[in-house]
This record gives sequence, C-alpha cells and structure tokens, in this order.
Amino acid sequence: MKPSDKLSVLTRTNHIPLICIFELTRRCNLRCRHCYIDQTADPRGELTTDRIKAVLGQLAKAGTLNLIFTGGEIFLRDDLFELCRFARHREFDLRLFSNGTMIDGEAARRLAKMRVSSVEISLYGRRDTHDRITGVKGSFLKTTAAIEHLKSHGVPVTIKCPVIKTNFKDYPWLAAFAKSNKLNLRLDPAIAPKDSGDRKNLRYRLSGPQMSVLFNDPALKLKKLPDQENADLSCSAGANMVTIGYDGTVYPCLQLLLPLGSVRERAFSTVWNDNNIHLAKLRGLSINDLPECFKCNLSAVCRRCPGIALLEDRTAIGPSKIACKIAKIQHSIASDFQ
Amino acid sequence: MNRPVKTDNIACRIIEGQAFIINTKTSTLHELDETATFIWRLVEKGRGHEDIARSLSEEFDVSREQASKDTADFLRELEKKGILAASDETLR
Repeated sequence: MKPSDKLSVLTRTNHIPLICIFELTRRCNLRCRHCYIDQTADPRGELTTDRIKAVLGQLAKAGTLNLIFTGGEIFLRDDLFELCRFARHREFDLRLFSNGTMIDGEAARRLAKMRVSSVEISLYGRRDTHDRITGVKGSFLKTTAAIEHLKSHGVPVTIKCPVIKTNFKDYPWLAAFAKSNKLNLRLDPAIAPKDSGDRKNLRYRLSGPQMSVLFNDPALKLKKLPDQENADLSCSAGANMVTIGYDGTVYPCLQLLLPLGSVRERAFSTVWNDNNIHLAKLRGLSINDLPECFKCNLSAVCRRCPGIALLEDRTAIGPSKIACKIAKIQHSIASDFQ
Repeated sequence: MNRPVKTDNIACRIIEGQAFIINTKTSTLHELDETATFIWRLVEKGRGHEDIARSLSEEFDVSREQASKDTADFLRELEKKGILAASDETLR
C-alpha cells in the first residue's frame, strides 16, 4: 500500500482530521460570476490572529497534516504571512488558494522562504475571458504576473479553473499555458450553487455536449475508468477532512455546510469528537446508505459530492444532478473506449 | 553525523504511533515504521547519534554496534531524502 493510501485509511478509520481547509476571510477583491461565496467587504466576524493561531495549535495536536488557507482572497488579511509562518513552524503541509492579484515579487520570495507546498491560483483563460469572469479589468495581468513571481522563486503553482460557458473556448489555451509553464492544471466543470442556496450562478454551467468535449479531450486526462468492484460514493468530509469557516464555525467540508460547532466557543477537538448527529451519519455512511446510487449502473464512474447534492438537490444522501450528468458522459466515453 | 537536525522542508505528524513526513520541496510523503519512528522521536528531542543508538539498543534489545549502524544508516537515508541536515549546517 502506498504511504498516501495508508495514511488515508488510518485517518479515516480513526477519525483523525488529516486535512483541514481553513477559510480565513470571505472578503475578495474580485467578483467572479460563478463563485459559491456570498462575499462581504466587512472583516468583522472573522477570527482574530490569536484565535487562529490557537486553533492551528489544536489542529496540529489532533493530527492535521495537510492545511489549506482559503478565502475569499486570503492576501486581504494583514496577518497572512504571520499565520503562514506560524503554520509552517508547526510543521503543517501548507497550501494556499488565491487569485494571485496581490502576490508581488516580495510576497513570492517570502512564501518560498517559508516553504509553502504550493499556491493554487485561479486563472480562467485569456485576458478578456478572465477579466470578464472576475468582473475586474486588469486582473488577468496581475494574476499571470503572480504566477511568474512564484515560478521564479521556485514556489510550486497549480492553476485551478472551473470550466463554465464563459471560458469553455479558452480551456485549450489554459492547457497549453500550463504545459508551457510546467504548471499543474486542475479543471472542474462541476460548479457549486452559492452557499446561501441561490442557484443563479448555475446558469453558467456547461451544456451536456460541452462537458462531453471536455471529458473526451485526451490532453486533459479527465476520463475516469470504471471500477465497479471498488465503487465508493462516500467521501472524506467529516471522516478525515474538516473545514473551519471564516467565523469559526466547523463544517465537515467547505461544500458540505452542516455546522458542527464553533472554535470560538469550544476547543477544536471537543467539536470534532463530540457526538454530533451530522458527524455520526457521515462517518457511518457507506454505499448501502445510498440505495438509489447503489443500484445505479453509473456508480463505478460517479464523482458525487454530498455537499453539492445537499445544496442543489436538498439531500446529502441521494442522487446529485450534476454528478449524474457527468457520470453519464464518463460512462458513454468508457463504453466507446471498450 | 553528530546531532541530526530537521531541514525546514518538512511537514510531519505522528499518527497512531507512526511518523508520516512530507518533503514539501518534492511533495513526497514518507512513512516510517515502528523502529524508524522511535528514532525520529529522539531526533525531534534533539538527541545525538550515540545517544539515539544507546536508546535503540535498550528498547529493541540489539547490540550497541548494530544499533549504532542502524541509526547511522537510517539518518543517512533521511539526509538523502532532504528530511535531515547535518547539525553543523544552520538550516533552522
């Protein structure tokens, strides 16, 4: 068994929060049309520097190794570098999610010195497309400059891009850009509804034929080979993955907004080890608890997300429209392949 | 090698009695077995090679010579993986 598989099994079985997604803010300097966050310009309600440091100490004790700082735009927090330094001193594997617009040469140098494992940057396509999606003219130039700065200081960069109707034509350009710059690329067509439940942003989702083109593109390697014997529709949320929201609320995942408690009121481990009904359900969940999905002949290629299912289809343990749509495409590709 | 020192490239946790270490430069995850984790805990306490070998010999009931060789081999391996630096290098 590979070390990563062993670590995953060990932590899932023992409910150790190996992965923590820590949302530092909901403020953002861009207005991306597909974004799932209901933004605010108000920093009130965010956790203080001292509180975050205390929680990071608790997470380290609980066994968290993989730590992700996300937002909003995390570089809007004045204490970001202080928090990164603190996290690295506690030997977290630290990854940052950012739009890159505030990363200059000096910021890149400091991140390199702290040995962050990677910075994952949202880039949506060529200049006009990117700026149209972010709603901010000039954002493309700032983001691509940040990628250059990070590269020149040796900080690993991953480009992340939701593929929506607006940038569908640009995905080959993104793939070529990532390849020529030797960067990792992560494309995702499954955009989520807003956290508030508002589904207006879903109008940007790709059509079926567009998704089919995307999954059929051999350069992207998005094709999922069927694995009927090991079909597993459960996920890590609440088992070995946790999210801490900007205001201290603890959730199983950034997409699965079932509140478990708050680190403002209780220590992290108390919230995590509490006999919470949501956690108990998630941790005991198996494919048998999803009767419709269990019987479905697409389960072997399904990438169902319980969080998106809950937001969009009002059930965390039933079929998810978007997952079904993608699974049908994956299944037809696999059938053609065979 | 006298006192082994961790480099600043690592992320590490001991989970269910077993050390898992990531070299953040290469994004490689390393898993240590029981004996290696025993040595790693002593490295984290800042203990030197001879001191580690003595503890290893007592804990696992092996000769001092064997323990010293095993410790040296293991520490050298971690150096190669970019997890440890020699103590006279001021990496930390």
